Amino acid sequence: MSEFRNEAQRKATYKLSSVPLAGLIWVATCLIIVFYIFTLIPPKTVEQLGYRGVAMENIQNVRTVKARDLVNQPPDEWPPFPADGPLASDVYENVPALGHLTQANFDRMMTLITEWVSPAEGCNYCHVVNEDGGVDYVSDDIYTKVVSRRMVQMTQHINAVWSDHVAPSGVNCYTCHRGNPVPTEIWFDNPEPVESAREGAGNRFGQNAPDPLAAYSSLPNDALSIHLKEMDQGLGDIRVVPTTALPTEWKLEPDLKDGEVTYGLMMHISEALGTNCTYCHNSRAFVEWYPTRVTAWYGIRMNQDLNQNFLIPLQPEYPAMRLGALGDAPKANCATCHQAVNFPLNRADMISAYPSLAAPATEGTDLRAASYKFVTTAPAEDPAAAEAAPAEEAAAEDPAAAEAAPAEEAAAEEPAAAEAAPAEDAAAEDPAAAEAAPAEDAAAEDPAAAEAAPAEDAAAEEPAAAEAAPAEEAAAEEPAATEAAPAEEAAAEEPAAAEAAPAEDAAAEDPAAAEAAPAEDAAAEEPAAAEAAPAEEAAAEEPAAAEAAPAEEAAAEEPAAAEAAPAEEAAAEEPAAAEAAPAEEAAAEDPAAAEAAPAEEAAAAEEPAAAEAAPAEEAAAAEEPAAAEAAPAEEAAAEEPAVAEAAPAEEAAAEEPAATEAAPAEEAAAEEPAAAEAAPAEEAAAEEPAAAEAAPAEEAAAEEPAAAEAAPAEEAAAEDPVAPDAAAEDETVTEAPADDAAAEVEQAAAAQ
Amino acid sequence: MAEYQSIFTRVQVRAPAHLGVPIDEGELGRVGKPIFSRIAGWFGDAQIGPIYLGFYGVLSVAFGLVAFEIIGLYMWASVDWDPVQFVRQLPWLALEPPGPEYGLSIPPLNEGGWWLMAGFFLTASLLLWFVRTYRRATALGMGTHTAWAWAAAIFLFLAMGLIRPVFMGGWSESVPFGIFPHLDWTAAFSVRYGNLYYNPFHMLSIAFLYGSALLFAMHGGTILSVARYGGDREVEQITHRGTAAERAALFWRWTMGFNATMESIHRWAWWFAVLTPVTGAIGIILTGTVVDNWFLWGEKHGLVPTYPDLYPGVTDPALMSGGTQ
Repeated sequence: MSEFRNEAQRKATYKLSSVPLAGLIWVATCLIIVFYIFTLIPPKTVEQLGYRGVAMENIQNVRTVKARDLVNQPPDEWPPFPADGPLASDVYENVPALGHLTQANFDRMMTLITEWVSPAEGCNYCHVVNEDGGVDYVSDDIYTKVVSRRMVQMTQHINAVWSDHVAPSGVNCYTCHRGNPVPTEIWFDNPEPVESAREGAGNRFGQNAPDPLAAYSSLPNDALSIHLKEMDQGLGDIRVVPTTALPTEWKLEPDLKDGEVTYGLMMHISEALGTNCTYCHNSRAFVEWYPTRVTAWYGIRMNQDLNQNFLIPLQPEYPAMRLGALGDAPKANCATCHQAVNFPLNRADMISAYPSLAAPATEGTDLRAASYKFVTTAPAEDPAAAEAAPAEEAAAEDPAAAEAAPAEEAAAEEPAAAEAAPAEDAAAEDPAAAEAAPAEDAAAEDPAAAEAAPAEDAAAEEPAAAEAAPAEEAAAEEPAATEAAPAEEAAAEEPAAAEAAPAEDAAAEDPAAAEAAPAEDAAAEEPAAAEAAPAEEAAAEEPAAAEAAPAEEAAAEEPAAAEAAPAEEAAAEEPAAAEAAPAEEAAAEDPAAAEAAPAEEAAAAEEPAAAEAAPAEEAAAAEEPAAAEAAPAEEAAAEEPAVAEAAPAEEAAAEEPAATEAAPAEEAAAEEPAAAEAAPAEEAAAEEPAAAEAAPAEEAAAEEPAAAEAAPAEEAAAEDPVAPDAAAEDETVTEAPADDAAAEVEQAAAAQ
Repeated sequence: MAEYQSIFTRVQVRAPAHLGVPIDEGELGRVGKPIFSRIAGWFGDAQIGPIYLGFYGVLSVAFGLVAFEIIGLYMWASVDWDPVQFVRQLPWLALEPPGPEYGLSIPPLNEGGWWLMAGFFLTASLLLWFVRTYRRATALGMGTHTAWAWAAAIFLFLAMGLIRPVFMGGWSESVPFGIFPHLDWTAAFSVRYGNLYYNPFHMLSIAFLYGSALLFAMHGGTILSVARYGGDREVEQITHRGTAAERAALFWRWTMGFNATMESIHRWAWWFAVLTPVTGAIGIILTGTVVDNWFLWGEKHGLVPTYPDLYPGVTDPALMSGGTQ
């Protein structure tokens, strides 16, 4: 064995027994340093959530928890006063959301909201200070007040509808606001993808940047934009993990990029809740369900609901400084409430003391669609609610409130206010305001202003100006315009200007100009054009159709135009517009329904409500996708995709994509993409993309982008993008020569 | 001799530069005047150069450079050509494959076209390098083991970036070029397909990977431990009693009853190394094409232990009546 040994090495080995003291000191020092470093690692708590071995646990850093608990303190409770005394709605004006409280409790809530939301800014953060130093508590002239009202509704909605996520703690204003007028944790659409998309290279696809929203991973940081803006039913794009072992079909999506987006969203949730993946998931099988994951599932849907139905729609209310880089409204995500705690405010009871925030004022109300606009006398605050004014009026609107003009008017509009002209006019519009001309006119417009022609005119337009023909016209529109026929006309247009022909005409068109034929014509168009048939005409349009029947006409439209029939006209519109035709009119609309007022009223349009026809001399209601029916005489029905039919005499039917037919005499049929044919006399046919031709006499054709022209006598056709005719139509439309009109929309129908 | 050829040694043998064996006429010659580097000598041979260029090698480097430039410039463009941000954000930056909407078509440059182009050049570069190593080995009269080991790595690369995406029908399935992004892709891949740990080929790949590390440690440790007897030089090792090789063999025989031979240990190492990417690539190719959820697949085949259900009745809320409110 000796030759195998290395003697020198053995000596060295033996020397190990006399390791110098310095060496021991070095070793000891290193050990001490190592142990010291270990003491720097923060202590953790681990809460086991699943069966042993699957590592389902909530891991928390004790120091982090201690620090965040200091700031996550709920405010002191203030229990309600006994419910006696006058109601706030009786004492104060314009208190729709909390008016069902007693005055004392209402004042208490106002005080609490100030404490929770704007403790530094005080009451005047949401209440207007007059020039004389007084406070106008009624006014809605400051956006914060409108937004606050909506937020109150949202809070009621969350507590009432989303108990799966928020019960039993509930939420109140403080849950998100924490004493800040604008909650600290809000988000906007990320402009980065848009900017980089313009470049020839360097597209980040919304990821690959150190972004806190994705927990500083390179995962997609726009997962919120993709997944938190619209409601899904849980089987949508978020869920990417298959629930079967083997593929069941050959498909690419959801692909890995979708998986990464979901992953990014999960990272956001994890950060927002201050916890880790295994709080909700068993990491060996993400498909499995646990109580925490179920709660989170409802939370995601709630977040989608709030963004889609409450926060995003508030965009028009905000001043620019409150909007994101892309002009989008501030939105909520998980962190807005949670603020790095898995139970916001550590499960403090936020709702028991504030029953007014626990549910809508009226049980069963769906606050998603509730109005939050200024209300005075009209109680209508709901969705869609359109109401017809007593006589010859009708106003429809959505989501705004519809108001009826005094006499024989109707104004519809959304979200702006519509006003009806005094006599026999109607204006519809959206989102702009519609105004009625003095006499028998109506003007609608959007977003531009509508102006009424001197007498009996109406102009509608958007953004251009629409002008109404002299007498008895009306224009409605949205974004297109619609109008009423002069003496029975109307001109509508959008964005071009609509002009009314001198007498009794109306022209509508878009984007081209619409011109009205001399007498008794109307032109309608699209996207909105509406038109009024002279006496006896109607215009329809698209995407909605609007038409006005002469006297006794109606206009419908969507989102386009609505129109008013001359005397007794109405304008309808969408999404809001409704209109009332005085007598024998009808309004149609989409996606809302239009309804006809009893006699000589207009129909109000509502959406998604149904439209109904008033008993006599009403218009038919159009509905979508329902069928519209024509009233027996002098009516018209429009509809889509259903078939519209013309009433026997003097009617017209429009329809799309179905065929329309013209009534024998004095009718017109429009259709698209089918052909429209004009009835022999006094008819017109419109068609698109085909050309519209005007019948020899008394016809008119409108068109867009081409010009619409009105035929000499009593007819008009509108259409888009193509030509219309006396019967107008395009995706809709039609019109009827005599006394009827039919309108329709892809989604809405108009009726008279 | 005892201090010779160790990374800690203070002695480096310096001889005249060795230019290598003569090569056939007609081929591109070796280029570069040899230099000596002390630092290189700590890690290997102190002589640097000459290097054989060759058609395939030059082309491979050129293609690789093109791919590298496309990826790097694209990343730089993504921070608006800001050099500071380029450095700071480099770990996050990436060249992403096209979206699923493009399927297997050629998308616009900024929608993934650059990725496709970089992928083409990189693949070409790798394949050309394979040809180069194969031809150099042949030229030296060697076996082509190195080239095939390299081919195994290329197979894994193509499995992720070409073969599987083609089977799935979209480039969007493939890996982004980027530091964090390709890691996040890996994590997303596992989650998306129900936990890759239950993929048997993934298991095999890990076994070979860890096995490679173990073998490497055993072999490296053994040879270093007999370096004092010249074991690292592997001379006369088989036949002589008392050589470094015999001591190394005896060490393992006495330790665990079995020992590899000087030849077989390298065969072990080669196969472990090669099977790591090969089995991994098979696992990748099967994922999504043949198996959609590896956890559920594992449950089906008895791979997954069953645990008690602690929350009976807790199920997918989307499937319960009502769904969302």
